[in-house]
Amino acid sequence: MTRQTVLLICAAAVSLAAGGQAGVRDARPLASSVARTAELTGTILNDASPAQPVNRAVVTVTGTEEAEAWTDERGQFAIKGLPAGRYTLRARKAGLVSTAYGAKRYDRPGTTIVLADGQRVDRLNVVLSRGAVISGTITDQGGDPAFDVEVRAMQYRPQLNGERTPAPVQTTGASVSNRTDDQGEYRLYGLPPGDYLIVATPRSLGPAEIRVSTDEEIRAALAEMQRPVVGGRGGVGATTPQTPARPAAPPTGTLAAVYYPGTPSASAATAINVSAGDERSGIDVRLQVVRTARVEGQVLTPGGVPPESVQLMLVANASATTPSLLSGALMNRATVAKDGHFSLSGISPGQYLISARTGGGPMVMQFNGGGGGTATMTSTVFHADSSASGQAGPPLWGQADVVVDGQDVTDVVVTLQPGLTLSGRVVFSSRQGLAAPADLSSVRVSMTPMVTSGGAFSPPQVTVDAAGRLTATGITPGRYRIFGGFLAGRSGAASTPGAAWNLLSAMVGDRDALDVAFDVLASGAPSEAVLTFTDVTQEISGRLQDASGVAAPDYTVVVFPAERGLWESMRRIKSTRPGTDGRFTITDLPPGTYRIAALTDMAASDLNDPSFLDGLVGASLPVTLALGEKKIQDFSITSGR
Amino acid sequence: MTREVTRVTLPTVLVLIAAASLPAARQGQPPQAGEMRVIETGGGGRASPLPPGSGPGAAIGGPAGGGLAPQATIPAGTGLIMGTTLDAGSARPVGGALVTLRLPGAAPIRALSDGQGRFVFRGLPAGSFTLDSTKPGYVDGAYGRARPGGPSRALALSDGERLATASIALWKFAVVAGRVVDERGDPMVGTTVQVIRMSLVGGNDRFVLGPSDATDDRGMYRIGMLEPGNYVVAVPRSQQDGLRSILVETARTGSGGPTSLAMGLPAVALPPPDANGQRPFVVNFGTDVKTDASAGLDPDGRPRVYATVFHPDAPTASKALSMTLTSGQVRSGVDFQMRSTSTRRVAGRVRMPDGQPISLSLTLVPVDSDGMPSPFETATALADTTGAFTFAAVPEGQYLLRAVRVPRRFTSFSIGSDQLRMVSALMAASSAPDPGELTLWAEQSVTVGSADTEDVGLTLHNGNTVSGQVELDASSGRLTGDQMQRISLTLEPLGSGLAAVGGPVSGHCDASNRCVSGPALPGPYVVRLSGLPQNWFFRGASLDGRDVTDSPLDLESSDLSRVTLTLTTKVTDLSGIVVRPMASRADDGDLVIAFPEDRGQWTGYGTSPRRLRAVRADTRGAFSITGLPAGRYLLAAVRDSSASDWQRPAFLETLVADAVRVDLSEGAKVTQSVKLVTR
Repeated sequence: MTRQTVLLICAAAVSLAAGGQAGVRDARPLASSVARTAELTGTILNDASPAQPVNRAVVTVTGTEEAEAWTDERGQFAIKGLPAGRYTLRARKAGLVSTAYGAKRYDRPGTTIVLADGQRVDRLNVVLSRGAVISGTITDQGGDPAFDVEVRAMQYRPQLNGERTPAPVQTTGASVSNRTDDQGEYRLYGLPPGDYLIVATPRSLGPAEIRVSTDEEIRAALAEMQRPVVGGRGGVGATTPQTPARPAAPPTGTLAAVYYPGTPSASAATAINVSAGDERSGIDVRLQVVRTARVEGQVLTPGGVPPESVQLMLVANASATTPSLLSGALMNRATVAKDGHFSLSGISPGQYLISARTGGGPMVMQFNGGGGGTATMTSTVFHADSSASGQAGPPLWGQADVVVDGQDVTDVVVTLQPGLTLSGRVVFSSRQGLAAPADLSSVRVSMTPMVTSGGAFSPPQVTVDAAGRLTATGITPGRYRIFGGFLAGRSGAASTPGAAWNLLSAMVGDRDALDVAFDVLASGAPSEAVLTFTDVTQEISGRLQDASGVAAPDYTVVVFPAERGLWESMRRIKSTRPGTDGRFTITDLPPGTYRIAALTDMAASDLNDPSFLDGLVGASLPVTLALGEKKIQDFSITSGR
Repeated sequence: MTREVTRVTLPTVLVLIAAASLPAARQGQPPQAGEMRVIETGGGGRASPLPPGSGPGAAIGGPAGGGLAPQATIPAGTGLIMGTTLDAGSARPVGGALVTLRLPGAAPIRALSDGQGRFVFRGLPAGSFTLDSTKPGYVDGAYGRARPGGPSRALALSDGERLATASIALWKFAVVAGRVVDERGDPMVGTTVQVIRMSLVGGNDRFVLGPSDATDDRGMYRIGMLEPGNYVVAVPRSQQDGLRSILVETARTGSGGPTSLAMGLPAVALPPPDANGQRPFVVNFGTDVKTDASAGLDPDGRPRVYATVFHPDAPTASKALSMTLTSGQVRSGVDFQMRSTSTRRVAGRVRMPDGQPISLSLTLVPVDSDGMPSPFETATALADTTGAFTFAAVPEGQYLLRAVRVPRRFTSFSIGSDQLRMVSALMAASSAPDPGELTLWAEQSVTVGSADTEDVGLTLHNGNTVSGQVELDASSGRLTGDQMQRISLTLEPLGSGLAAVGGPVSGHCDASNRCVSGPALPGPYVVRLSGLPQNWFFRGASLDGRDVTDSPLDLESSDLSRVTLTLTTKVTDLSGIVVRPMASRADDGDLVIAFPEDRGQWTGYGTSPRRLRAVRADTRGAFSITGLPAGRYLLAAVRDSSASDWQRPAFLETLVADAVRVDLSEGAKVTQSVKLVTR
């Protein structure tokens, strides 16, 4: 959360290339006859003082070609036989924090090394800091060591929709999750510096309900033992005139995931801050039995729709639950009875979404994973029952939010209604005379809901016919974005139209759904979507230099939209590190007006932060990119702070 | 039950997805179109199905069991069962154990025992219940179970009965712990330590993979979840050369569908369908596997590797320290010092039987590997489409170079309107689907000495079948064609050679009473028939007059077609009473064991013994064993709690002196009392 970047002012543009000039910078694959005469050497050291060489670290280079080497006992490596090109270099070793050459920090991009034929670049030294260790003991509800409990380090990460939620740590060379041993102990190591939430997740006991043996229950049973037997063998001298009623059902519960220091909720958890090489022991957690409840209700269906054909899922709100995406407790499916009733038992406290729909298509569960990515699980439905119901009409959907807190919830009503429809067309606009593909049915378009915190949904079915007519059906109200493209084959560009055609825009009303989400209201979907493909791309390239004209590779170049309304459009916000020659290229930017800036340091996640971009506006230069333009813009750094 | 979190790879994720959607009622049935088969990721290129309902996938679909096919609840009554979950060793209560009460035909009731291990189920009807209990860190317990994995007992509750003494014993797992360091004494971080259990397979001890753990930043590991038994512990080091990838084939069934597959991994674009509407493509979920030079390089530039070590410092499992672990025992100090060794290159070319090149996975196994499964091969490599393969770093020694291809098994799933099939295997990115789905094999010895081996030629052979005619015992009647077609012939491998690598091979029978196995790898097998109609019994199989049911059939490189398989309705029955010492109280804890008089039949019987049987006597001591093949047997009775190793030849040997001889002729009904052996 702390801003560790220092803004540096880049002032004057040295030269602006003539607009519209198509600077051809070829990225043709290397011929096999290429010279392999360049070489990279260096030393990997640790962060001890004085620094010690790191033996058997893995050094990888990526870029024009990929290669790998191991360091020797002096920490030295040599990667020989490389073709000329642009490379980045990274070192890793288990227990140490993987870092790139030239990076300001472990989580920052490295410097691009520009290598000529026959050139040897020496002294590529990388310091790997020792990862932090977090360890502790997990005890069960009775205070005994808890065996086989998954303990995981989590970090808050911004998601696609801007929300920050805890997500599993993603790093290499580290153990970010561990199962407790027979002593209840766990040990996470190799952690980069930062704030971590520790969550202990016991093995799922399965979704069916579990009774909790309470003292009351045991006392009642012992009292019952004292009473004479009614009926059965030895049932003589019964004093109770009638058969006793069945005892009240005992409370039900299950073992829940617990965040350090002892809360089921991530928002109430205490973050543990570690610096490089810290060892934090005693991060202990005691598991808890939480009360579970039954969720019951009714699905209301329009006339003629048999409720048995309804799929119903209860999915936990991801931000309120455990990180175990695959834990069985996360998803509950129920059948809906003929009268529309459904019942789910053993539900832990939490916020849930009940999703119901008809139609045989799959339902998708989406979880917000780490790093802004999402994991999507599809529940495959076998068509045995949907064909029996003979359903031909549009799919129906319904949703209901449920909060469970140990008490049974018995009055949930899910009302089904028809899904909405959006139609549109796919347009091909050529600048280089490329003929539009004859059959447009290989265009793939998806409408992706911008769920706030994960949940179950039925993705709209989007089809494109051979003539380019687009139809999206089964849309439920919510925020959506559109993604699209051609199916790319492994067989190479020649047979794949997508290699030449790029999706330029997806206009829904006056907004481009490739940049910003649009809303579908229950009252109706937008009238039309127009997807436009073109056969050109845009890019900005140039050279960054200091006031004396020397290449300035130790900066990060950022391009972002001039218009604030587009600051959520990730395709319009890009950053890169110039190479050692000061040259940079940013490709695949849509046409538009941008601002460009150079920074000394920046975290990738800063680009999701509007206030960060706000701070850049004053230190940036305007750039306009026309359709198909390859702009060359060199600039120099004139003053710093 | 193993710590395999670190090994979760893409296919596993997919397994979970699809398992979630399979209605419980369908699990365990053969997959149908559009359904999936659960496949485990096999490093050696062989995929084997998991038993239905097992594995992590089973848990997720839970409500599918409870929700999609609701079971009746246990009816109300006035009975009561109360009890305690206990540590079998200390007899102290185990709190927080999950106790499951089952009545056949009804949904089970589950309860967590309290801090003193107490649990209670009230309002129960009369019935025959079973009770079992699980708790992390313990071997599962059940009512009436006297030894880990031993038989349990039903709990008969009469109307209104209150039973307060239903204690369930749980056995604490044993633990091994230690440290792994390199030749300089530095900790080896993230290194896999593998426990291997000595298990009885076909009467012989075999090494079976147990749980594993990865060392932490101090080089330390700790492996729990070990049931009492004999173990060796190792640090396996296997070199992998080639590209690890999975092949996904898609069959487009609708015009919509997604543009990419995103499963927590970088999204993969789907290719356009081909003329047949198929979209075969490959997802690489690993990078090009490079030579592991973590042990450094020799002056000549060759990589050094760490060799597999069995604790304390042995190259093979049979030379390792065998540790007998009892329940709850903690064996620490099981340490390893890894040593690097210099290597040589082994390269060559593999061809199909017709001389065509083939891309497939090859393994290099030490000659004295004791039948150890993967990851105890020395190296795996992937031949490219020209059949060329290279093992980049092989220590000196004697090896078997093996290539085995069995018909691929697919995982099917759908994304959007696309049906996809996935096969998880180590295979070349460009490997085309194998049209014939052939069973192919090759095995050849390779000596790696002081120089590189560059020109190994390996030619694959086709698998061979065993077939024969079913003969029905004259007085037993006939079988319909339909009944015949439900019978299948299975070859069960013996030993630990190539046949065991391939595993059991099943085939089918036709209406003309002819049965044929699937293609099998060479080696010794015993012949079995399964799927027999009720009251029919497999008397045995013979080849040229020689028995191949109790003694092995050696399959070489040609088909065997003259096997005679005999079925009969004459089933033996051996029943009697266990005679107990005067003082002992009657219970049902006695185990009656029938075993062959011929010691040669105590071993080498495939996966399941035909002539070795154990049954529990009831509370009156009565027992009955039906269906033993005719022959001469010994009969003995022991306390069940002492009989955890009853199939072990050494244990049977201790029974010989006290056992009674029984001669069973075909279809004989024999009554024989047997005296309880108490020791």
